Amino acid sequence: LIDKFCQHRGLRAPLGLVKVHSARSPELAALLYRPGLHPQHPPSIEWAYDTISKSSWPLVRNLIPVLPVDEQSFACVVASPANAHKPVPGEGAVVRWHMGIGKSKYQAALLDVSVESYVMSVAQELQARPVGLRRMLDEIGPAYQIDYLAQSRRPRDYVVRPVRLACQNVVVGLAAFAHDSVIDGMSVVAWQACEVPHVAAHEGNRALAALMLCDAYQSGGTMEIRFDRPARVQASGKTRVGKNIKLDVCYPGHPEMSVPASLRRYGRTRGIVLGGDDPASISPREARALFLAVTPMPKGLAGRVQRAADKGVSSPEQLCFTLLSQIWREIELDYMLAVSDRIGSILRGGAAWTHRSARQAESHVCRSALMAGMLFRCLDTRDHATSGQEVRVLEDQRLGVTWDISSEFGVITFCGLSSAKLPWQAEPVSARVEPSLTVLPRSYICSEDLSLARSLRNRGPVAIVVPFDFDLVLPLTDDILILRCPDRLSELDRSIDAALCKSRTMRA
Amino acid sequence: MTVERAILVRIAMNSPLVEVLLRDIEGARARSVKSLPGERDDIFRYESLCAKLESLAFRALDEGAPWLEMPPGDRSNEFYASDQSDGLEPHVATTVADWIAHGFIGVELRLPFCAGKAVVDSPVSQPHVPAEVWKAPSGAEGTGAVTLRFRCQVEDVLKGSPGSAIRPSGVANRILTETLRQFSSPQRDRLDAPVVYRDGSQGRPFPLRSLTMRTDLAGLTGSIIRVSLLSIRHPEMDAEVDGAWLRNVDVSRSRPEGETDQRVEEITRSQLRELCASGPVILYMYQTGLGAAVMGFYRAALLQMISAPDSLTVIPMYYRKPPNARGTPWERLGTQQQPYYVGGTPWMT
Repeated sequence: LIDKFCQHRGLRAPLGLVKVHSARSPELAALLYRPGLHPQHPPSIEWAYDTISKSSWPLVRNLIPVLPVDEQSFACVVASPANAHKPVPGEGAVVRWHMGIGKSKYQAALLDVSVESYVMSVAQELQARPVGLRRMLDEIGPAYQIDYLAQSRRPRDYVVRPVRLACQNVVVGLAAFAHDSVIDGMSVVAWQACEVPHVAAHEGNRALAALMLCDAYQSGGTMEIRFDRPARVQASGKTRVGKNIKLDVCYPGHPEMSVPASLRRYGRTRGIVLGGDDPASISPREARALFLAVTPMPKGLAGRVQRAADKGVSSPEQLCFTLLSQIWREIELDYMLAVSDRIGSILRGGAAWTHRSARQAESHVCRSALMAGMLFRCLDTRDHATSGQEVRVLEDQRLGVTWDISSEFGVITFCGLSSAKLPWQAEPVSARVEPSLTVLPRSYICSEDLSLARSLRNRGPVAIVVPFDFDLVLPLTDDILILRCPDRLSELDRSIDAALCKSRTMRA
Repeated sequence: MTVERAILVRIAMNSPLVEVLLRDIEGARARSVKSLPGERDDIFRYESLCAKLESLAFRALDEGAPWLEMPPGDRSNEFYASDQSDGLEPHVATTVADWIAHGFIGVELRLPFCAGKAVVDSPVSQPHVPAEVWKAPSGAEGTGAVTLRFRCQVEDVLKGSPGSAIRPSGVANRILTETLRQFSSPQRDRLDAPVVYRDGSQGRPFPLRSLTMRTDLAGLTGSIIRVSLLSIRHPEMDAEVDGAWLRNVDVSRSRPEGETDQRVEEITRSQLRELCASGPVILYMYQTGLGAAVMGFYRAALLQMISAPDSLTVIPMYYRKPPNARGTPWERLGTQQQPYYVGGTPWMT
């Protein structure tokens, strides 16, 4: 039937789609779009086409609806035209088609690399969902509330801890995990993620995975994550809603007893096979690849992180954890990786205080990185806090400024600037912002820095960023801006000290 | 990548500001040396003062003060004001001596964003490979599996496997104590095993096969002292013990575990020296968690036993919940205390 339906629409049904329709999974009977049903009601495929065509984003011709993703989007398989000699790129892959979406870059995001694996994984996910939800909502969550939240206690790493991830008051992920000394790794007993209209595809899985991997890293161990380890949850007391409960439950592992289907699906979209070494576990090798995939990094930073890992400067896990826990932010880490050989020592918590020369060198690099990060956030943020006219909105305030680091000069070029005026300038000087700005972040200015700044003027406006209390002695020319960071040297050093302390104890 | 240069800048010592700064730096450094591991206040003050001195030197450099290139390498001096030019190249040392003779000092500055020949060599080492997963043999579970895992680590160290070390993080204190006890005795080809914590920090090496110990307590004499390892952590132990061996406030701090281990060892060695000076001591150690504290304590105890045989016996006491116990332990203390603690293998010669 589906084959004929596709032919009728001038498309060649991908082989996987035909297979999916022939072996219909009982979990998906009410969901799988197919021809031959009442065209006015789901799951008729005609109904799906009709619904999408009435939306502000009519369906692209070579997409065939397969399953609903949420109330506003559909999973569609990519098909080739019937008369095409070669298959179109991505034939058989599944993408998410939104009916109403603000930013076009999120339209048609990849959901899975093949329709067969997508449908199978959704079926597995839905089959395990009721058990998992009951665990989270009726057992693990209340037990944690009674034993830890109600008593303001902090759980040890071996306690089964629930994680709830929400975006704008909508839960997009639930999980529960604990460090397991027996395997010297992590054990996961619950994992639920879902797609919602206002969140990009796979974000629930990505963010949950980031939290889980950070926890696994902090708890130490091998970074193996197992889904078939037994766990016990006990609690007795009154829940937040006033219900008396007495729990003593043993779980054999995650309801699927293997790497959850939704997580494997996310892995496939990032080119990572999860559970390949052992279906019930994410091996340390796979965990490393997943950690790198879930950590948001601009392309330049991703390359530097990879090079640093290849050189043995640091482990990929440490670099990802540093970014995800914001010990150093993206631009700060990128700058330090780009310009300094001392980054390995900085990531380990810095040289000993007794080695003043090493500490001094590291401080210069860290101060520059910190000031660059502060300036970037000023340039990239639309914040009306001081306008006095608007209610302050804190969400989605980024302007999309990008950075490019010249590693041989320790210079950063910011592009895509759009604010009316550059921050941190001394009055009455008030240079307007050009689309790009080249910046030398320095805790002290030497004559070499001035020469460098002058030589860079052909790139556009050049500024030297210094601490607030920097005492300028060298003569400046008008074409070089001095931007004074709001923090004094000692305040910068205090922030650096805090970051270095966190680096030293991140796995402790 | 930019390259880092080191230069020495001459500044006048007779300015009141410089004089005060130099004095303060010396004082802050002396206090920092004494600060406890993990304490940052004195160290931060010292570093702030150094940064101020460096600011003055940068200003002097901008104003045209004489300077000279320093050889590569990391040094500990903040400034050169007297005969402390050890390790400097001869021509630098000569110039510095001349500066000092004329009432100046030299302050080392690091310029990390220069073009030129690298001062610090790019460190290239082997990439960090993912860890091997641990699978307990014969399907062991629970504490049995953790014991096997820890034993395997220690056996690997004894076999001399490359990269092997004792990794105490996440291992229950009872397993740690009993396994280390087992591998510390008998005395045969002593091996100082490296100790590495999961945060990457290192403790001092643990002396395995360093002492022949016995288990028979018969005929044992000495002053009996019952202590908990750490104060405050388990107040229900208070009814059992004479005191706490370590103050929780000194030990449970946010710092690398290796530093905690080292601190515990130092405290323990000093306390044992004092206690054992007046005769043999039998120490009933009521243990709590914190692997680094357990490691530090037993290393110090072992070293004490090695240096002064028959001066010390340690009997570890482990908490255990009786199978039919109801309620939490502190509720039943006074009526049925003993079952909650069980003695481990004695550490005695």
